[in-house]
Amino acid sequence: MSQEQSPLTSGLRAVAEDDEHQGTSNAVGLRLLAEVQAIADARRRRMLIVSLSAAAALLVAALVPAWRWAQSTADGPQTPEGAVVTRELVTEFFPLTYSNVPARSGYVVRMQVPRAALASFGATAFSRDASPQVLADVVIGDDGLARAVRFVQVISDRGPAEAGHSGQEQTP
Amino acid sequence: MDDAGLIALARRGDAVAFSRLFASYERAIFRYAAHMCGRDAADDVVQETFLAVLRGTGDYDASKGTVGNYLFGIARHCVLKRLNAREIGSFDLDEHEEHTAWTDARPSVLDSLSREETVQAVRVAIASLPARYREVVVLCELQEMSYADAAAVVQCPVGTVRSRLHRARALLTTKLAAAHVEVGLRK
Repeated sequence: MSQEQSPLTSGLRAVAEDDEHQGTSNAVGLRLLAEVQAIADARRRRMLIVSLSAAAALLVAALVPAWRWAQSTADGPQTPEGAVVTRELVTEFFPLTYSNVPARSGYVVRMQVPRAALASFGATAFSRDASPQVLADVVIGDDGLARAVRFVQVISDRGPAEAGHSGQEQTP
Repeated sequence: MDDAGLIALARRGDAVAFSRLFASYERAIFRYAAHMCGRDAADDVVQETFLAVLRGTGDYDASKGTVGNYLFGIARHCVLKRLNAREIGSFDLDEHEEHTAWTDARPSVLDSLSREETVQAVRVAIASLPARYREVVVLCELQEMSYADAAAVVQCPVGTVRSRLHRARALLTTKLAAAHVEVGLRK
């Protein structure tokens, strides 16, 4: 080490000490923190999109089989083989004696009536089976007076296994 | 958590991790940049350096050096863009000349100066050095970086750092002596 180096080293040390007061302006730190915040926001958005995509994928995965099952049941036979399906044929409502009496409300009662009642309303063609009773829906007002009646025929259909025997249907 | 972990967290938007990393290195990088290309550009160099870290444009590989060396490497790249490429990029100086012993029998020119005058005189002398010498003075003398770390930042052999530093000190001595004569003549 030469004799000049020691004062030079001291001079360099003095510069280094003087430099210690120097630093980046606050604006730089703030700009960089804003960049970090932007990265965090973008990351959160990506995570949200990924989460929503995953949720959507799960939903689709769950719904597609259900939709296919619904489609298959709608397109194919609606009853299992051999099952009995019932449906009803009804006449129009025929007015009864007190049909003109005003009523605030009412209800319908299903009951069995003698087959002869069909003839009273000219509906003999509605049901031709041999049973002595037929079903009827009677509209009764809140005052207990019957206002109207209609006749009901319940038809039972067999599933595909017995489809050939279901030709009992009659229409009014 | 080590600095590498802080980099990873900062890149994921962790403001606390970034603040710790920034607080650890921003002053050193600022001072290096200020000596290399002026205070006005130093803020920009620091900003570009940390933006590069955040955006992952330069991946940190722990096997290649410390986080400090990594950051200084990015900062140096930013500095080089601002300097005349020939000033710091040409290394055609004969290394044998750098190894030549440099002695000056003149008495110390700094002994007669006050501390403020000394600081100012040394600053001016450092600023007038060719960039490749200025760089090693800033890293090794002012930042107290080891020769090995300085060599990693400058991307040259340790021996080259030693020889440049030796040559830089000799140049500084000469420049300070000339300045002293100038000051004396003015007085």
